[in-house]
Amino acid sequence: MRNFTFIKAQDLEEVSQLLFAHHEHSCILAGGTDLLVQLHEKSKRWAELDVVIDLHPFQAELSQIEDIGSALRIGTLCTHTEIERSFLVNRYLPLLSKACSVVGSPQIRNMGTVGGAVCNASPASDPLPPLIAAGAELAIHGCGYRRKALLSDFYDDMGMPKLEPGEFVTAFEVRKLQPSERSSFVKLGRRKALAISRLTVAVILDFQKDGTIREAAVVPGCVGRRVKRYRQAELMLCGQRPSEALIASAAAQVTEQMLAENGRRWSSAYKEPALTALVERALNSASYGAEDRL
Amino acid sequence: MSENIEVNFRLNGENVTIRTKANRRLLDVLRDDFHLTGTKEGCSIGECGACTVIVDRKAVTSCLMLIGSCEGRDVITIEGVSSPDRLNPVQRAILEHQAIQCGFCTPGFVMSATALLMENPNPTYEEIKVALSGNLCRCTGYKQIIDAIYDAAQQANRADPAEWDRNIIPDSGGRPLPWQPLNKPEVCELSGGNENEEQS
Repeated sequence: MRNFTFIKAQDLEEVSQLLFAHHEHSCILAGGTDLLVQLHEKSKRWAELDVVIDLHPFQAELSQIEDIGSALRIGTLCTHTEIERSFLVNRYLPLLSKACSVVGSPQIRNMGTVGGAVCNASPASDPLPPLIAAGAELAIHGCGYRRKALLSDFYDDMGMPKLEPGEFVTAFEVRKLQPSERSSFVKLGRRKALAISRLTVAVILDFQKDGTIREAAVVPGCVGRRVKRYRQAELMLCGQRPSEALIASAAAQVTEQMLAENGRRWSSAYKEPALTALVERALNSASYGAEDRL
Repeated sequence: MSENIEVNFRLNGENVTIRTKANRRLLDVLRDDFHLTGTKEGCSIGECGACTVIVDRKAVTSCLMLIGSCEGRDVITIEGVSSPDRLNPVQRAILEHQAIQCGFCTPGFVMSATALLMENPNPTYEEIKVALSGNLCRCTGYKQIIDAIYDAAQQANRADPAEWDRNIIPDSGGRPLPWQPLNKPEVCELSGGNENEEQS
């Protein structure tokens, strides 16, 4: 493994200053489950790494899950296990808690953090689709300032996080789902446990009193460089009452858009039917509370 | 700034201090510096669970943990959950259920199971499966291991601890062994190498 200096900063401002000073040659250590694998495999990304800045001294401050009125504030160092078991997340964002419960293995969930999952920017990251579906905001700490950014604007066209030198993410603010909203998260991996996702879908449906859908969010993961909402399929659902035909056509629309944007690749023969089925399951689950049709 | 760091943490109940290079993993330090070789290195990328240890009461893979992040934490290895003359209930149950073949993965399974039982002394079969889903075993199959841990939990909940620590037969916790101990060791003699050579 490459030699580097390991620094524990005194406060968050010092973290920003160190990141700014060492910019290209530094990285942040949160859970380490991605970083250690990349270092072990001598990833080119860290070929010039000299400084590792540990965030653990701020564990108490950065691993809180708080209720701040209409939203939840989730600290960047919350592990997947903490999110999965949090009463607040279970109650107000059940799809996020489901997504965190299927990340890697129990050991990985005990170490890996939600901040790491978002900043490593893997399109296969499990918590990303639910966070984007719920319109999460990021709290970012820079040298001498703090700012907020929408998670949906956080990645550039190459899928890398847009962070200026010295900036790092300290928390996520995610709106609470309303009682009229139903959500679901489904994942397809190569095997049941410990598989990196092949495909995931997060869905939030807001129902009106007459049973029609007022607003929908459909976010597939692992398709394309960026995880984002599939607006065309969402618009098809709005104003309609869920039915077998509606769900099938919305699922077909998601797959069509995926193929139109990413082109046909070697994996399309597999992803095309798999994505359609997965979107159907997610919509069924959000509409009827079961993945299989009633 | 140097590449060396000093780390203080609790290891199997004792406070320890180590000065080492910052790019070493907890796994390297446990095996090479403390000679706690019960923690095994399998895949080195957190997939197999052979290097599982308990840090702050949670099972983690020590191959994905830099030694620097252990500062102030409580680390328990397989050597810390039992002693050679007294196995912990999970280990006994694994022996009784014959849930071992080569044994390489076993310390990892014991640590995952111990972490589960610390948190949830009465797990369901399903909960055990989830807790062990980060550990791979390539010889035994998982049923015996899951059965063993379920059994260990059931026994621990049922029996008075004084009962199962009687130490009559140390490895079985005083319960009768499910198989007859062999009086004479069976000796396997390898035949000469000629036959094998002909085959190849």
